[in-house]
Amino acid sequence: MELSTNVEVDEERSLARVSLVGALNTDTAPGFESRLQDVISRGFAVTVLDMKDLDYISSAGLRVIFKAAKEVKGSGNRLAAANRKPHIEKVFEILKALPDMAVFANDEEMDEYLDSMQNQVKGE
Amino acid sequence: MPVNSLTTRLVLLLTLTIAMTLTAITIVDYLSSRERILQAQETRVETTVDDAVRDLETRLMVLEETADLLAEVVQSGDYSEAELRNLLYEAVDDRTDLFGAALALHPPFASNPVRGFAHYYFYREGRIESSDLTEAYDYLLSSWFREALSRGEPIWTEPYFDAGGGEVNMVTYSVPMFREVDGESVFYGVVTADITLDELQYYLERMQLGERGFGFLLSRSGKVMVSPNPDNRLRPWAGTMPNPEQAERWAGIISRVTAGEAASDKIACFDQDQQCVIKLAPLESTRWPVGAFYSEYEILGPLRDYLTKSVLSQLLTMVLLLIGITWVSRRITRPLTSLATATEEIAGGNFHTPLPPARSRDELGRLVTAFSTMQGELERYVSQLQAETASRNRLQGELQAATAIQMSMLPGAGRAGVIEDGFKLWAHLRPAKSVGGDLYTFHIQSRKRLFLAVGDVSDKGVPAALFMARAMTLLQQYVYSTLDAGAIMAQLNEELVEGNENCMFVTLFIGWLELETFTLRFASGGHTPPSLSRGDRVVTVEQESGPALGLAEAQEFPLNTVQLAPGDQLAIFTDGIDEAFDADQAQFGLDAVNRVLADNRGQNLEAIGQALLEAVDAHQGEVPQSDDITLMLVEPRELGSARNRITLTDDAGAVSTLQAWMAQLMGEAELPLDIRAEMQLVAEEVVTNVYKYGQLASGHGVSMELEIAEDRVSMTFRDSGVPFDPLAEAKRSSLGEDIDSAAIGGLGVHLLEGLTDEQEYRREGDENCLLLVKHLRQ
Repeated sequence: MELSTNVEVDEERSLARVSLVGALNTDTAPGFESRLQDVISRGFAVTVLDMKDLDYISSAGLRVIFKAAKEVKGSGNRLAAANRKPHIEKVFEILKALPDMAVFANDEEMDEYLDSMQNQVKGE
Repeated sequence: MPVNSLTTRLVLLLTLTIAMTLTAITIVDYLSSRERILQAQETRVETTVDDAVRDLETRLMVLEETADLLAEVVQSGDYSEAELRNLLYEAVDDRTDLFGAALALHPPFASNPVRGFAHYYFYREGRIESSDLTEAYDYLLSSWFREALSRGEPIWTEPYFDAGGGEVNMVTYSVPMFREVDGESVFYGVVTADITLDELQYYLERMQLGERGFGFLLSRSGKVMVSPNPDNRLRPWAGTMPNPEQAERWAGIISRVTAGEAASDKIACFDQDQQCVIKLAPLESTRWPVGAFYSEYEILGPLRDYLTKSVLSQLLTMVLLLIGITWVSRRITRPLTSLATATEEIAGGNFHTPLPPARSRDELGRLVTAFSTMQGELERYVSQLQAETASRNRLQGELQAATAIQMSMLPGAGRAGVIEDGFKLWAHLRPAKSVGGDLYTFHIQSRKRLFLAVGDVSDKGVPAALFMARAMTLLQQYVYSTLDAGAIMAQLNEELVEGNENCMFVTLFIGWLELETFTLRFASGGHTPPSLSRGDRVVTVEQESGPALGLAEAQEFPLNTVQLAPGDQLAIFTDGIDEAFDADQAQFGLDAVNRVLADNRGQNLEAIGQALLEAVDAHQGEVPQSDDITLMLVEPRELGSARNRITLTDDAGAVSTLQAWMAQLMGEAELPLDIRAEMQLVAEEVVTNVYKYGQLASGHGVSMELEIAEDRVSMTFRDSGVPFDPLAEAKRSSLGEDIDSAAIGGLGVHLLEGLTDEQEYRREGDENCLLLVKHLRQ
């Protein structure tokens, strides 16, 4: 199984949305890692991994996400996951991975979250 | 000398004892001696004084008698003055005991009544000289004349200096003479006798007691007549006292003596620092106080000398004793010291240390002799012990090698675990001694049937091990000869009977398990029946048994048939399990075996086997394992259920290949989609891990069997990498930690455990074998 990724950027909200399609496994993880590196190195406040079309993830893939989350947090930004399928969510749960990572069940929840963050920033 | 040495203690103890004894003796001796010496001194002083007084009295008496006699003669006769002078001369002549004598007439009786008559003869430098006293002075006024006249009886004058007469200090005895004139007694004159104070001094000199002591003589009026200092003569005694206190004390004593009694007192000596004694008594005739004054301290001088000498001699004795004791105890302890040194050397392992020579036949000699004997014995004993230890070590080493060899004859070297197409098997042999008589083996014949054998040789130890080795070899030889277990048993028996002089025997279980039909055909040579676990029941299999092998020829071994089913578990074991004894000699028993098997039903074979062995151990408690223990567990499985096998050799793309292959099989079996994904994920984790850590040789890869049954999905992974149990040894990240502290990686093993229900790792030969099972909910 292959993995393809699509990156959308919302400069105004300092938001990157990385959509994953296919399988994130041992074979595809290295490619995805460099792709994700490119995105987070641009320093967006929030990077969202959209897993709506992600069918499969292994520990190798989780490792990449794990590592990215650590890096992003170190620079004061956030990495979030959205639209996880049940069996993907189960893998996350088994590994109790990324406990402080924001996750959104769907696009609406994510938009809500982003709006509230935006308001916080303006409020300051 | 060290304080804790025997010599020191001996010397100290003896010295202390002797010193105390001597001191006690000295004290007692001093006290009694002091009393005695004091008494003796007292007596001596008294005697001395008494003697002096008596001599003085005698002297004075002689003098008085002379004067009295002359007076008697003169007053009873009628003599001319010339005749009187002759009488006087004769009285003085040849006398050494008086200084001089005088004859004086009352002037009316003198030839010349104006001048009177007074003539005096006295000694000067040994010659008699005469003096006419009428020329020298008016004798009528002299005290010796006046007092005698007035008293009318003999008197002693006060001491005086006889100027114009003898020219010496003297004292005079004067006797008045009377005559009958007209019937009346009329005073006629006096006769005197003189004695010099020097003469008296001579008598008192012996009263000088000690350096400070002296004798003294006083006149009735208290004038000093004799005292150590001649200058004090004729002076009143009070004027010679050194201080008023002394004078007061003396006055008290002297007044008692002048009253006529003897007196004594203790007062300070003149130089005040010592106690002195004064003894005083009146002379009988003259009432002159005569006395002695001496220092008590000086008198006790001899006692002190005695004490000093006594203490010195005791000190000398002590020193001599000390030297003697030290010498003796050194002599006694020197051999002991050298013996102790030699013994320490011996204790350090030097058995050739020379002991000090036993010179005497006393206790020390015997001790040295005993030590010498002990040294020899010890040396012999130690060398014997060394030899024995070496030989035992060698034997131990040989036994260890034997154990290794014996175990190597068993599949899996005594601990086997196999998961194969058609069956799972776990076996373990635990000898009671380093080598034992139990045996087990198994063979797979063309993937169709499984040969099983478990045996127990009589007795234990090396003989049993040798017999076991023989049985094992024969078993290997005959295993493929026939499918009839009974026939194999019979052949084996014939071979074992041959040359079995010791009548060793072996009980044996031999069986063939058909992997396609699960039929077990077995024969028993006196062996414990196996237990069968099926469903939730565990029963002991009914068996018809032949005799134990090796005892008698031409035996028959009936064949038993048991129909097994997949999932059944058969336990074949030796009597080391069911006949394990506890402290009360109670056996573990077949029922207990079945109970433990039932309690652990559903677990994997190794877990069940360990549980049974632990139960046996718990039963035995402190009692050591008395017999070899062998346990074999067999579980038949559907043959062909693992038909689907894939072997991956190349790392690159292996996971994708595997997952694609799995997807197809799982799709055919119509497994739920989430299960498919999870199994693919698990397979990926395992394979990734193997490639990462297995250090696979080039061309070697991972094989996987996928078995899909109604209630479960089983995956068996095999690889020829380094021994590696991912369940136990894998690097695991701890879960649920904060992102900052959590490690990246080590997640895979959590996924294996999270997504499957059974995990079992085993090293089979040189392969790692990992079995993972996922239960399916129906």
